[in-house]
Amino acid sequence: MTRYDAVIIGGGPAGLSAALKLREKGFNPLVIESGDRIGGIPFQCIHPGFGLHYLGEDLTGTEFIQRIIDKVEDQGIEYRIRSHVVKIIYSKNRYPYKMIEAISPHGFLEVEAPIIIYTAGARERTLFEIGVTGRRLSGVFTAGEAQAYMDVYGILPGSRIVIIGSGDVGLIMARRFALEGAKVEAVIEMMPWPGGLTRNIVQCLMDYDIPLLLGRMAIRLEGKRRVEGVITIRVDEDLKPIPGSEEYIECDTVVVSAGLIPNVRLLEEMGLAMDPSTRGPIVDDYLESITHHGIFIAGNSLVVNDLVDYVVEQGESAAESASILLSEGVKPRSYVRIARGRNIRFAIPQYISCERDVVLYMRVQKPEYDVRICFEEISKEFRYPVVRPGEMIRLILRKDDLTFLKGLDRLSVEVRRI
Amino acid sequence: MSMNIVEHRLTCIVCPIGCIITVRMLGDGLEASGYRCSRGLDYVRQEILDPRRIAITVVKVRYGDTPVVPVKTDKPIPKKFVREVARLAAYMEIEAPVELGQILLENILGTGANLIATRSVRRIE
Repeated sequence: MTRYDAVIIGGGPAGLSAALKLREKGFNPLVIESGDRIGGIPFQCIHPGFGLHYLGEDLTGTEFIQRIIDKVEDQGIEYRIRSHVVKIIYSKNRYPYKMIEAISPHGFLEVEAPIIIYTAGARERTLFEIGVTGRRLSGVFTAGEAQAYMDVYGILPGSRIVIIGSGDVGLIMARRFALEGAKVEAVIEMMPWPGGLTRNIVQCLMDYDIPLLLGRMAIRLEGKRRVEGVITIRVDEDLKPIPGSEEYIECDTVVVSAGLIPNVRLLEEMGLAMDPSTRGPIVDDYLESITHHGIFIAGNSLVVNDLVDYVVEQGESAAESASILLSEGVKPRSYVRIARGRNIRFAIPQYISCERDVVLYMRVQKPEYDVRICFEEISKEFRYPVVRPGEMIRLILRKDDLTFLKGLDRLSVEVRRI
Repeated sequence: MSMNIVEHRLTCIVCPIGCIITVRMLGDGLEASGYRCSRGLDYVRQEILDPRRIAITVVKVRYGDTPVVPVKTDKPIPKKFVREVARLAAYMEIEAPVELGQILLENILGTGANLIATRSVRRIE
């Protein structure tokens, strides 16, 4: 049995930046990665837009992650690739340690650590989860699969493509298809607004005259062996299909870009409290599970982020909290719950200790212009010219303001019109 | 004298607000409305007079641990050349190893930008 100060599950940007931060603080982490290499999803992201906040430079995903990988190698941080964690045996206390069991090419792996940082990322929603019926045809990919095909393996998945969902990866792939000679027939989005960032709507769709069909959903795929077309239908304000508004779009490939779901199976098996609004775990402002001491969560397995910069920030923050726990031991805390009000879809963290500044990540339910985000109990508000579901809101609550919460059990947040 | 007035509507991408900016071209002059800050005005001026993009694509690699290497232009190039870069890159083939940042083609299509690798590729025989 090998012992480490912390085991990090998942070697993407969140896990690697957590490992670097722990090393910086003098601790010895192990990173367990299930893929063939460390780096995670940015390895297949060849477009720019990475690191604008974190490094102040505009890099491609591949360049961004290489910088992090280089640091990991320089620091001699231990990692295991092709190693799949099958079980976490949880003990509440620092001693006895938590135990992690994994299968790897070198056999069964058992490691112990007082701390686990869980950074296993997210998975893509599939066609079956968004209510599309029809036969199981070939020619259907998730956006991430199509991205790996094209930009890691150099294979164009088809020539006439329909993209279902307007998430960022789908928009970015629309541009890649168009540029490499395929025709993107349409991007179909059920909601009345796009799912991705505005800059991607402009630079990926408008630049290439790709139609974005809002308020329309795909209901069925047609075809014999390979997909030959998609039947779509218009939806009303309540997202109910409007009979008679069906339209058929011919294609040979369907790419599903219908959002991401945090990868939390191992956490669920351990019984961590989960938040239905993020589909990730419930955490405090140390990014520690509210129910499971010593388990920290960061990156897309905590909450689906738009920007890698936020993922790295969460990884570092989780590692910083872990190093506090490692050096100072367990301290009892009392919490204030973040109570979501009008037009707040989720807020991370769900509980705050009021012991320090808090970085709050939030998403709204619907777009609104000229609004204030109000924190009732501390009489604090932040003005925003626009809020959109596709763009995560990140703001900081100062410790000095949070002292007003003494004796209260909640902090309410809502979006108000100016 | 009649002047040819061309009107464009652009969505600003400088910040998340996404102002819809209307631009009128009056001969050589440019008149914009709908922007909230000067960055928006700079954006549409650049977008109308000289739109530029970083071009990205992939290039075939022989003996590499991946069959292609992602590439980009090391600075923004005129938008009209972006498709040409992808077309040109489709005919290129290089040999591994490839280093991150390695220049694969200098002054691509006379744009003054170099085509560089954005990932390293190891050689396997």
